[in-house]
Amino acid sequence: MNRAARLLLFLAVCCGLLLPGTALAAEAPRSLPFNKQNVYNFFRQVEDGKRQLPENIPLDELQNRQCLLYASILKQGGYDFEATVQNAVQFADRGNGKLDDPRFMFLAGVFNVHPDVYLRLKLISKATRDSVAGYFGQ
Amino acid sequence: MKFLFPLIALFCCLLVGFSAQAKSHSQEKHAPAKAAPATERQEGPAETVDVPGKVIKEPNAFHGTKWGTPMAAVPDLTVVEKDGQAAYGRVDGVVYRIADVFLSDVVYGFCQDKFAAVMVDYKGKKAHEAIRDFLVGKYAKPIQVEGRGDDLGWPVGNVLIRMQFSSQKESGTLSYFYLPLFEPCSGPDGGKAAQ
Repeated sequence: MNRAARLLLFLAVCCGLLLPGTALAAEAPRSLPFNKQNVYNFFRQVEDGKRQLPENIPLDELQNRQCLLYASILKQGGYDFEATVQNAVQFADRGNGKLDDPRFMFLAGVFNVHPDVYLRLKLISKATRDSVAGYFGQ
Repeated sequence: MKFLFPLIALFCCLLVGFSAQAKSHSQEKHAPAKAAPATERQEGPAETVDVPGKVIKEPNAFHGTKWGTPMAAVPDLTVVEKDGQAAYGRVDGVVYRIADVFLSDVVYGFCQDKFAAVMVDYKGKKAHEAIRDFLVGKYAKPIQVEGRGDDLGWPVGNVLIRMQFSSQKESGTLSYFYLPLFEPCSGPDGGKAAQ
């Protein structure tokens, strides 16, 4: 094997080692699969988490912690907060069936806090914030 | 041959760089909130979202009775109706106050023997407006169910609060549903099909 061939082999090994890691790191964030049971379970966990929060802290701080709680509970389940919000906004009912739509229930529960707060906490992007505002403001 | 080394080095650098960038992008979104300075608050564009400036918690009980309580554990309850997996009962002497309205016609709803809903009747437009305004102040602006202004809903986490008012009858119903428990009974005939 000449020197050039050895180097090409080395290059191929490098590709084999690095590419799977790259693919994993770039894997698309997952949304919570929307059905009523998943949303019920999500809010149950949120309520459990809220009860653990101290109440003798400033309102802003409490609100921040609640927002982070929504995101961290999704994260514990392997889901991404922003991807879940985007999914919900994109496919949520815009007609009269809202109260029977798990996506709407999710958005209504989570965005009792203004989306600007989630944006400030970097839990959602500006584009997602605008989508949420557009959905509720329509 | 002499160009092969720089080419290989460049290729490896690109791969490593791309990998690191992808990782940092996925971590950035989950960076803790404390990393964001307070001065970074961004003002939103023209759209508004009608939310109260306070923390909202879903009601975990009604008049001291927690969701999920078995029927037998509610003192003085008289079952007035059974419908599939659902059962409804009244407690004599219970008066529920909301806003400045006192309501005595309280019906407790159970699904699969678990406390899951409440229905309270009220009379008059004045009572309707007082209760509605109280709930708007406490939770947020409601949604209009099926576009009707006298059929309102407040989804608060797993609790759905509804107000239905009939202008013709001059009476209405305020209801609370704890959805995870009420869901099996919300179908036709109180969820009989699920039995």
